[in-house]
Amino acid sequence: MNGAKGVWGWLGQRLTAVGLVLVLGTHLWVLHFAPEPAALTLAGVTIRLKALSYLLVDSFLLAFGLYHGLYGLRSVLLDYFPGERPARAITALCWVVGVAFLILGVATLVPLVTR
Amino acid sequence: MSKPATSRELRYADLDLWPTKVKVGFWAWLLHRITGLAIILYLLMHLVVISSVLWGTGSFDAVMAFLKRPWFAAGELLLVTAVIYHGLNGLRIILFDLGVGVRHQKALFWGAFLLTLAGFGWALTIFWPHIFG
Repeated sequence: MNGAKGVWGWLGQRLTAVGLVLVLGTHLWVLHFAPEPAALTLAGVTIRLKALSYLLVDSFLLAFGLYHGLYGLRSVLLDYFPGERPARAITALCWVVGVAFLILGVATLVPLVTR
Repeated sequence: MSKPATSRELRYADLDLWPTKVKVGFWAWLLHRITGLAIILYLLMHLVVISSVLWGTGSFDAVMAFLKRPWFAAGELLLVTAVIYHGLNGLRIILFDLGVGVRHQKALFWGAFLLTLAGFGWALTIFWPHIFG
């Protein structure tokens, strides 16, 4: 059972990696590399997020980034704290951090979209 | 007589980090790990900074104006470079998972490394005015 869980976690890591190449690439392009980079002001962000495509890019970036990053952080920590009990604690900690920052991210996006 | 080392102790004790003694695959792994940790740390800080919008419209623009300082622009340049390397080496790892290119892992690393340098050069031309302008 644990092995099967591990496969899903690993697969999620790989799938979010591919997704991040697309959404993070788009995010960086729009903000920094496009011939006319987007304005980094509240007005600029609000206008961008009115476009469904950009809202989707930012939403997937939030979800994929948190999952991929915290799964990676968990893997690093497991290398230094082997054993089943530390693994459970590390996994729980990553979930708490992930959910907390997901809520913070959604709470930030909502007022920007509804302005 | 000291007790025998565990496999974990042996693994670290046997590490000789002198550059010429470390193989390409180790550098690829180490750089992937360092850039990954830097990126997740940045992502969490980025979310906290962007959430300043919750404190009012003025605070968001004030924070963004503060982050236009040269030191932050230099940090963003390093971040973009880290993202490019992590992404390219990540694709290299996915190829290996699919059984593709394992025999050419060194060449693929150097390809990713050179593309990262190229990406850094391109990003430098964009960030230069923000850092030194």
